[in-house]
This record gives sequence, C-alpha cells and structure tokens, in this order.
Amino acid sequence: MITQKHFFIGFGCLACLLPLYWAKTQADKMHDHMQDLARDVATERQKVQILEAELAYLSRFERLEKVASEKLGLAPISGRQVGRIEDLDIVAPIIANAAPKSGVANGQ
Amino acid sequence: MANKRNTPLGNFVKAWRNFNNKRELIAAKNLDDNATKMPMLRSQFIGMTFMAGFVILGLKAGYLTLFRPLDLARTSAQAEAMKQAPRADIIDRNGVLLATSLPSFSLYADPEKIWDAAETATAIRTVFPQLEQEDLIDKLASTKRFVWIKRRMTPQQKQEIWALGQPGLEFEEETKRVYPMGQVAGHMIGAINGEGRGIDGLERGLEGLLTTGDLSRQLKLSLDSRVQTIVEAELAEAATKYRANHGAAAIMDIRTGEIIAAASWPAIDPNRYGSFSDAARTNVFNSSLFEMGSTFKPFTFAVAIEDKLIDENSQFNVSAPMQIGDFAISDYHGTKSMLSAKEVLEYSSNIGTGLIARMVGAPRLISFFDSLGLLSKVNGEIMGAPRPRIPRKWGVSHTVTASYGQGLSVSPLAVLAAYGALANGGIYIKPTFIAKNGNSPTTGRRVISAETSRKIVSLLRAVVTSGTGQTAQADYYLVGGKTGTANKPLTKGAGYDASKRVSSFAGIFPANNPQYAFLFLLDEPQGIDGGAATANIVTGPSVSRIVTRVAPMLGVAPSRAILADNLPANNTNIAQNVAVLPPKTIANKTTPNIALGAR
Repeated sequence: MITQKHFFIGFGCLACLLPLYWAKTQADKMHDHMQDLARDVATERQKVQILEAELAYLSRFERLEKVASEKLGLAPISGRQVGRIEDLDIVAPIIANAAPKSGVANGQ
Repeated sequence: MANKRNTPLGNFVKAWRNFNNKRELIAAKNLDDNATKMPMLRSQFIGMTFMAGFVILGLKAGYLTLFRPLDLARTSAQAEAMKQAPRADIIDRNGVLLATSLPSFSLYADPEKIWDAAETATAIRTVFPQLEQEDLIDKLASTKRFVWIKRRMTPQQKQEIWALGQPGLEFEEETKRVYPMGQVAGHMIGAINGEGRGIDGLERGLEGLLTTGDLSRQLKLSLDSRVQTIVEAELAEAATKYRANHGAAAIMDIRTGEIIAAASWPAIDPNRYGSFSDAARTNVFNSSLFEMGSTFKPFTFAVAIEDKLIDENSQFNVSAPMQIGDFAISDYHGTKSMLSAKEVLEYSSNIGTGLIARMVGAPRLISFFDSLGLLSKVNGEIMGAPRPRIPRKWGVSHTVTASYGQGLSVSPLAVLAAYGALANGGIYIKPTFIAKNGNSPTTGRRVISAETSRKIVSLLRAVVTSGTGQTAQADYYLVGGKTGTANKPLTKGAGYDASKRVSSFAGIFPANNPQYAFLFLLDEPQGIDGGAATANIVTGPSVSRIVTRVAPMLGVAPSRAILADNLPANNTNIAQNVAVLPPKTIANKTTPNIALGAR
C-alpha cells in the first residue's frame, strides 16, 4: 500500500537523483565536446602533416641548391671552410700588427 | 484509511477485487454472457502489459543515465590520430621527411543509383581521361552495389568529381603514402601496396617497426638526404655517360655502421612505384650480386698482413703468368718483374695477389672472408638481400681467383661493410639504415688488429696517390681506395665475357683519420668512342667529386698538410677582420670542427 510516507521517500529519492542526472548529462556534454576537440586536433594534425610534406617537397636539396645559387649567390661549402681550432694558424694566419677591419677594439 | 485507498494502486486493487467478486458472482449465477467478461479481461491484460513495458523502459533509462560509463579513451586526440595514420613517418638523420601518410579520397559508385551509365562515365572521364570509357560503363552498369572507380585522388580531383553532381558517385576517405623527396633514396625506402602494406625496401623490411606505433610516429633513418642527393646525381651522371646497365653507390660511417647514402641506378620514384619495370625496381646496392674484381684484393692483403706473412716491402715475382691447372693468370698493369706488396696493390697485380693467397691458404682465406660478412647475407632491414654465390668446393684455383674478386659474387653492401672493418681499426660492424642513438654503444667483432688496419689504410692511400686510383684524388681530403674492373661471367656455360665488365671503386676518406667508407659501381659501362671503361676511368672521377662535396657537409676537417698546401697564393689573411686575442688554455679537450666562413 502506497502511503504518504512512501510518496515522500520516493520524491526524496527523485530529488537526489536529479542532480546526479544533471551531472551525468553535463559530463556527457563535456564528453561530446572533448570528442569534437579531439577530432579538431586530429584534423589539424592532418593539416600539419600535409604542410610538413609540402615543406619537405619544397626543401629538396637540388631545388634549394639552385635557388641559393641563383638568388643568393651561394656556392657549395668547400673543404677549406671546415677546420679544427688548432688549424686556425694555417687557415686564418694572424698578421702581426694588423688593425682589425671591423673596427673592433683590440682586446675586447 | 479511506483516503489512503484512493491512490491509483488502491483503486487498481479494488477494481481487481471487484472483478473477482463479479466473476464469482457470475459463476454463481452461472451466467454464460461472455460479452461483458472478455472486454474487461482484455483491457486489464493490456494495462498490465503496458505497465510492465514502462517499468522495463524506466529501469533501462535509469541505468543508462546513472550507471553507463563514459568512454573517455575515445576522446584521446592521440588515439584519434593513431586511428587515422597508422603507419609511421620516415625521416632522415637530420629530420627531413622522406615518407608520410596523408588523408586522401577514393571514388566508388553504387550502380543502382546511376541513372545513365554512359553519361556518368563520360563525366568521370572529364576528370580522369586515362580511364577507359567501356570499362567505366561496365562497372557503372553492373549489378553490384559497390565498385571502385578511382583510388587515392588528389583533393582537387575530388572537388571536380563532386562538382559533376552525378548521383551514385561516393567518396571513401583513405590514407595515401607520400614520398615528398621523390626519387631521393627511392630504392632504399621502397613502397607500399594498395592495402597499405610494404612491398619493397625499408617499407617492407621494417613493416613491423613502422606499424606497431612504438616509434612516436617517426622512424629515423641513418641516411642524410643531402649526401644522398649528391651521390645519386653523380651515379646518374656516370651511368648515363658510360651507358651502364645498372649502378650503385653508397657511403657508410665506419664508426657506427650507419649507411649515410645508398643509391641504385636507374632511380625510381616511390610515388610512382607501379610505373617502373622490374629491372628498374631492382635495388642493385642491396639485392644484386657481382664478381667485384680487384676491390677484393685489400681483403687478401689484410689477412696476410694480420698473419704476418707479408709486409708492404715483401717482394713478388710477377714476370710470368701464373699457371693454375688449365688456365693462366696475367696482369693488366704488369710493368716490372719484381713488385713489392705495396706495388702489387698499387698496380693491381693479379699474379702478386694470387701468390699472397697461396701463402694464406684456402681455409684461412675462407674464414677471413666469412668474418668480413662476405660469405653470408649481410642485412635484414631491406628485404631481398641475396646469399652470395660462392664455390661449392674451394680448390687452389678458387682460392687464387677469390683473392682478386673473381669466382664468387657478393652484394655491393657486403663489400662496403667489409671496407669499413678494414679501415676503422679492425672491427666489423653490421651496416644499418636506422639512425643510431648517440648514447648507445656500437657493437662489433674484431677481425684484424688496429695495426693491420692502419697498414691497410696506408696501402689504400698509396693506390690513390701512385696507383690505379689516381683519378679519385679529391680537393682538400685524402682518399684511399681500390679500383676493380672485373669481366662478367657468361650467362651460359663456364668462363667470362670479355665484352662485359663491372667497374667499381671502394675505399675510405679521409685517409689520415678514416671516418667513412664508400663504394661506386657501374655494371657494364661502355667506353666513350671505343675507349676503355676501366674503373679508374668510369668511377674514379665520380668518387673524387663525391668526396669533395660531401666531406665538408659531414663536418670532416681536411688534414693540416692539405690546408697548408692549399693556401691562397698571396697568403694574406682576408678573414682577419676582428682583433685576435692571446690564446687561452682550452679546457675542453675535444676539438670541435668549426665552419670558418660562408664561402
């Protein structure tokens, strides 16, 4: 037999469940939002991948070499431009009493 | 209490009791009027059924609302990305992208939705004119519900198909493997098939590594795409100039076993893998076998020096052909009757090398070749590496011919790795295409002593300064190496074809501090205007240009003596534009290589 007491108990349970339901619904919405964001991240990553592939294509060695030569006047590095510190006296010998060309003061 | 009974449940119970009472009354009165009894029963039954249904739905709704777990794992962006691009990218040792997977769209049709197959086929051919009209009509008019029209379109092609507005045409999102650098290292990287599985090169050999997802989405190769480009360009130029059938060229870091560049000619572009013939797809560097000829001689010298049977001044009489059984061995380069061991290598004397091989003996020569990896498959990273062809039974003649690289066939990769062992202090290191972590130690096995290694490097250098390899002299760098010009075996029967040869050059640089081994090979080169096509002519100049170009890129410093010899004529220091401070004690004992200028 359903009494007033039962009614209030039932209503109380319902009152407790409603916030739970609300929280659950909010969590679901957040979950959906996170999924949307994850999808956006994946999409953006795909775009980054495409850009990286395009960058690699444009960075092909023979293309850069040609562009650097034609536009900037650069030439391939020579063995003379690579050396060890102890070889500096050969590669760039110190000229006695020579004033620095850049104007940097001696000793600084 | 009366009020309490006026609840719905109370009313229902009351009605049920009334119904029973009535039923008893009816039974008592023996009424046979079913017209009043059955409708009531039916309505009660339906009411109960609906109530049970609502209770079940309510319980289910409550469960879903309160107890259903959130699938948070699916929200992970990484998981999403992994799902869409399951195959790892391939990059070179400097991070340059060599292979990646990009989203693409494929076109399919549902023939049931096609109104007019001929009209649709014509429309499709405005975007894909290479497709056959009849084939398209057959597909579009079939009874199937799904037929592929075109796999892996570009975004622009997809847009153009979409703009046609033809019913029954749909798109499926797929992944396309793209090789942005085109043919750079095409043979080594390989390709994948329509199902996304590797079918050639490292794509096939490292399939497991590329698809397990343990690589942080990138596989770093040991290849340097800059060096690779230069090596490929030189190989292509030489192969074209001398009309070779095939060619291979490679550079290996002999301190780690890392392959820095590896080229095979003719080149292929993995983006168009299907358009190349089987011959073009052959990876000559990894999968072809050659009788290498005289590039084998340093191996024979190494074992003889290691066993203290000879030194560089040991004398050999090469005045007469060496008779073994039914055939005689003669020399191309024979000029003197007595040669020192050093001259035997410089002049590439087959007789002298044969005499050394006899001193070494077959068992020792075989075991030494085996320790250099010349008698077994070298590497498992690229599929298709063959086992070398070696004599079933080694007689005296096999020992002698093997000592100068005839009678057994090996891959260029095997020879390159063996040269690394000769020059790096005597440690055989298994070659690899995967970049090594700087912190992990490189393992190998000793095959000769460091002293023997030093002597071999000295002999290799002598070949380039005063022997058959003088065309390989490079600017600023000391090159050491050995030429090899070998006739090819006849395709039918025993013997050799004097008109077909393999010309190769293997060696190391810089000879004053060996860091890299190289190999350059042309298969069946043709001399220009009837001239010779020996290794010193067809491979030496290419080796010279390669070393001159790539050594500075790899940060190799020239020797002090070469720098001194190549000072500007007036010997003025044009670079001295800053004050020079007194030298300070350098705390760091390691001497870094430094770039001294832009040009």
